[in-house]
Amino acid sequence: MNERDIAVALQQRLAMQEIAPLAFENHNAAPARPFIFVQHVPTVATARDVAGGSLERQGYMAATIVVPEGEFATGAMGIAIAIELLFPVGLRLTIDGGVVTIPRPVQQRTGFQDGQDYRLPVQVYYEARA
Amino acid sequence: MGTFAADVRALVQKRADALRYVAMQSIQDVVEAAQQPQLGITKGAASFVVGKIPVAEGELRASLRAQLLGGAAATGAESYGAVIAGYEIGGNFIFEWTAPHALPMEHGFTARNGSQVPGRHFVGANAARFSEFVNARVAEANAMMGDIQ
Repeated sequence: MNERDIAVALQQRLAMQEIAPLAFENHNAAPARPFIFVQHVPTVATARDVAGGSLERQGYMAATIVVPEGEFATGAMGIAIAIELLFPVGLRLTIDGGVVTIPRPVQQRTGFQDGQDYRLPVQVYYEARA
Repeated sequence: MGTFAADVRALVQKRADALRYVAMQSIQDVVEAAQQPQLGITKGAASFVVGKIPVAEGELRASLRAQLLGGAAATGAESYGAVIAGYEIGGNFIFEWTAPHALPMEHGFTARNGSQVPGRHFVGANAARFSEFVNARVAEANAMMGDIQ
């Protein structure tokens, strides 16, 4: 079980629903607005035994919604709701060597102006166990 | 009976002291980790590290404003230490970075050439590690003061 497989599982689920075009880190796309910029943020990796077995990994998928300036923020919030519905608490995704679980509701953070864009950060927390 | 009551009081106080220690240190661990600097890209950094605060002129790191609710706020890169020292069980803190570029640095932004710059998540990534910090401090407190679980 590794972070790559966790990231792929989450991002594939997000891509499947075609909520909005996706842009990924280190993939210099400049899609038309609105789009979702996706970044994988691992935070904790622990082993429950000294042999390194029973791995647990935690982190979040940062899915930042980017819309043009001058629009109501509620448009971006609608996309955030769609993401929240896609990753309900208790959702389990099977990956090679483990299971990824969504342990708590998707978190919407404070939106902010960024040049000619408005960005609304959304975080999808995960826990993965081997 | 008097001795038993005194023993219970001492035990309760010991546990309260240990809980306060764990809470204070864990909270400090989160903020300290969030303030861990990494040379900014504009200063020639060769790598991009998520979970550390980028430093060019130091404005972002110095914009940390720490406050224990009901008390005075302090601002500065090391402001959190003195504020956390005043913590009592049940207290609430606010930690905020007030520099205008704090949110874009945390969550990412669009560069001038139109490409997407990922976020540093110096707050989010370290806040998510709070349980890890608590577990480590509980182990430390157990070693120093006896089993508090």
